[in-house]
Amino acid sequence: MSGISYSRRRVLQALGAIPLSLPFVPWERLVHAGPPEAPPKRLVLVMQNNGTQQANFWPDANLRSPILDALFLDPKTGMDNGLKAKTNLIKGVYIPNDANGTNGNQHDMGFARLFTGAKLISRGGQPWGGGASVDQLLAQAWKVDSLTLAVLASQTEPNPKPGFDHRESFSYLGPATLKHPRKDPLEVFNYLFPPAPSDTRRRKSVLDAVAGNLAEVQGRLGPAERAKLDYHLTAIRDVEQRLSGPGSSCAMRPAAPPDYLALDPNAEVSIDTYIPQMVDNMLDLAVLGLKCGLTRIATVQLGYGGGKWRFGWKGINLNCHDDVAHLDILDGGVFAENTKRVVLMNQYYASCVARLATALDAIPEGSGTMLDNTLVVWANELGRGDHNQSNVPIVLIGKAGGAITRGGRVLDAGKQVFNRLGCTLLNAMGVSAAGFGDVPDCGVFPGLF
Amino acid sequence: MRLQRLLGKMLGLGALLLVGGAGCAGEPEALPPTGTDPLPPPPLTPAIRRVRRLSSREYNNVVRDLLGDSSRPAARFIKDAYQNGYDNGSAELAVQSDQVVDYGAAAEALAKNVVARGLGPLIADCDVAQQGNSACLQALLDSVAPRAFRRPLTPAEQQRLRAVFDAELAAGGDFARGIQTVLEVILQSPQFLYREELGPVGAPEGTTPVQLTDYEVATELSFLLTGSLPDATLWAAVTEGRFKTGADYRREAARLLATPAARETLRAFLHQWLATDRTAILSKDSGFYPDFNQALADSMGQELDRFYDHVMWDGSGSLRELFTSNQSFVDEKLARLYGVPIGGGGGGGGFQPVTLDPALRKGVLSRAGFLAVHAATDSSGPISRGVFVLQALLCLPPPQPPANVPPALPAGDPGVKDLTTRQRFEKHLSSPVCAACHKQIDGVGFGLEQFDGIGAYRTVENGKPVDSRGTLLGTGEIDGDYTGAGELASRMAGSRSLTDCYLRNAYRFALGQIEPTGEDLGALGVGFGSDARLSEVLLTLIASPVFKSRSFEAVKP
Repeated sequence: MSGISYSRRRVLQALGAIPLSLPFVPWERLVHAGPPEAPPKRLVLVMQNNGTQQANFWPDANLRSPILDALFLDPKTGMDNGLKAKTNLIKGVYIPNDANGTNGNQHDMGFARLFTGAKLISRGGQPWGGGASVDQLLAQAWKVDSLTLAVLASQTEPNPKPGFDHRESFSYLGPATLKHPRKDPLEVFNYLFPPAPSDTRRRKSVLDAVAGNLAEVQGRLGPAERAKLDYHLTAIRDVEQRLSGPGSSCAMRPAAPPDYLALDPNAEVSIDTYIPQMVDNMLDLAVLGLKCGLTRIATVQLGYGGGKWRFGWKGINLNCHDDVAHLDILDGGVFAENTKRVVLMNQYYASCVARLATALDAIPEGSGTMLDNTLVVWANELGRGDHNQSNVPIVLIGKAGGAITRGGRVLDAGKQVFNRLGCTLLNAMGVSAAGFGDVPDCGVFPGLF
Repeated sequence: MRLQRLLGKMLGLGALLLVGGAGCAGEPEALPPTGTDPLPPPPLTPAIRRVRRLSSREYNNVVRDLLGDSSRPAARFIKDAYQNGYDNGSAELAVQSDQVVDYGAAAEALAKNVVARGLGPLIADCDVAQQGNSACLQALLDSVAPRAFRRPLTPAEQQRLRAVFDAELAAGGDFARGIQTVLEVILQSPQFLYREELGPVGAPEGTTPVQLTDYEVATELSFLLTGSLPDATLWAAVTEGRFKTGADYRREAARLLATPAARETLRAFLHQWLATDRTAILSKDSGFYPDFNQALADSMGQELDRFYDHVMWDGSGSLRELFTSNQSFVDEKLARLYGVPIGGGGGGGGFQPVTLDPALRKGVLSRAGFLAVHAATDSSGPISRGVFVLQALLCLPPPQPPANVPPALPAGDPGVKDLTTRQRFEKHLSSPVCAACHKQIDGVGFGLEQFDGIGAYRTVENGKPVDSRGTLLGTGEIDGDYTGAGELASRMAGSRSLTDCYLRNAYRFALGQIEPTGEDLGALGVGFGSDARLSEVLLTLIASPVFKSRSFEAVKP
């Protein structure tokens, strides 16, 4: 048994929904566009829940706003941190109110649709994403293992309510098949930076035999079940590639994050205490994964869809879904006390994105920084906390390896369908696409490229 | 009150925005006419030929039963999401790279540990010095490997494992090291990680369903009833050709139902149906419930373990008993919560049987674990309780609330300090748009208002008397006004909606999938009522063609 022959059928099948402008060009040539010596492109998705505070998000002519200041200004010095010039703010993005026969609401539409572009599909009435999400399409195209990270701990909502397990992730391997996030920072760290060198020959030999056994079972299956084992085979291939790859390109093994489960077995489930620290760890691990050449795609999810963090670390201490976000029923806010809370929550999310993006911008690469070869996306399941999805804020930071040359602006093309986000990301990452998901001709965000 | 004005404003806005919302109360699903000659229900639709991945619960059981390893390695596997709601071979589970890593780490540890404990049991006590490497490897391939794959290995599978063994020895490993490596492959192979439901190799593809092999039926049966691979007796029956007929299935099912593993499995099923497995991750706001802690939550879970076991195995095993029995088992913490006396000592981890006041604590609905899991963190949570009972227990799911639904004021708001939880939530009944659904939801949830967010009994809240009058709407023959948890439980216990809903959940648990749209599960319910044993439905399923028929996937043109 030599090596793992891995089926590319799933990738092609998934992309079948996406009209490629050059449909007959072999796959590899599409994804490896650009000069061979150029640093690889990278994608980071940061996903928050519960909407922004519209009047305090969208900036003035100098790109100042209470929320964006937390993204663009250094918290200690108040000086420009350099991200503004590399940022494009996309206005007018909406998600159609379409439960597609499921009992899903806007949280589900935001979480399961934004990055899949697909209509929700029903499993016993519960809403699930209808296709692979853009991070997974790119992972398949690039043949890399994405880093799927989340902080889901919540005192108010230790697990999504019964029947709402799908809110644990916005990332999908395929229709109704979640890519589950890792929730334990130490586990992620040990995955990226194994504590001891492994017996690579032996592990590869084992995985080869496992893949052979898989192929034997797969040969007996019908198309849908075969696709299920395709996920498994791709995952084996990813792990084997990691084993035989060069490993971390960083000179030193970074410091490990705390062992939260040793502090408290429920630290990652039902306790709010460690959330900010775990979020920082996850953001830093995403940066390390990229920096040390261990992945090209990272996603960081901050809470469940419709999550109920209490933001004690911001002095709020309320169920911030029910008792804060839901009260924000007007773009200008309704009463000052609540508006202030929504702004505080979103300033926190902005500071998270700033932590990640400035770290990437501090890594020299080629003639610029790693951020120049990356696209960091800060997205939101809602536009406004009362489930309004008419102006979902989309923030794109980085130059995506030269695909984006300008920044420091708000791109307001009027009302535009959310599918353009997926289409834009594919094109920015070098995969030519005319549309995304259920809008096959939506195009990209006008004026971005 | 500014907040109250805001609330009023939002209610008005809600009324404007909700156009043509889904129907709610007073629209029961049509029940078939009674008293007429019933037609026999149509046969159930066979599932497709498929593979069903082990859940974490099953993985832990399997490695315990196969290798004698009780370390529960799956406890740290990445968390699954079950579309059908149950962890018995949930058919849609896939494997992502993190799981390949997890499986690999678990397999390495399991193989290392079992080899360290001695090779004998792995190779049928083959004497390597006498019989040689090849023969003793074959002993593994003829004993442990088939049990792991739940069927004899194909020649290609044997060859693959032999190649791994040979490579390991060529790299300088000894026999034990070779066996360890082969075990690692076995434990990561799809043949181990997924249960095959494919029928015989080479069955002609077509529109006629295939019948599962004896090995596959035995596997399906043992996972359904014991959450693990076939035990030695069942395995012997299959390998010796004594597991072929309906009578064989009945004999083995009856035997397995009497094992401790079946207790554990059906307990897990009930916990998952009632969502009471969530006591393990329960969390409450200490400002409202200073006496709550994880130890109390664990006691709540253990009470229900014992209660479910009692109903299923000591009692009648019926829905009626599950929903009306006042028998319970409490430790000191729960005795305090329930306000019942408990003698000193006692075995069973400090748990003792007690009889609860049937007017107060009747059946599972008024057990602390159920009440606490379905409550809010800071209050009793009549909405979440009402929604759960309607959706999960009666299969009458209310629609999602409209998008901009205004929340009730939080329990800690100064504006509600003189109100009961009921009064706090009753506001939405004054809005026609909210009332459409909340009459039905609250009509259930308010009936449980005698119990606070951790399931403690109360008659007064915030200085006001607690009102636990409720109304059942849209629930068919049990519709109408009632008072309190006891009466709610009695009505539900005799309800057709409850028995039908249980059938649906038993199907989802047993077959690892959601029933096809429009599927009539009546075939499962023939003769099944509130007083029948809950396990009857599983036996009916086992005897039904749906248990062993699988159809070919339609090939897309």
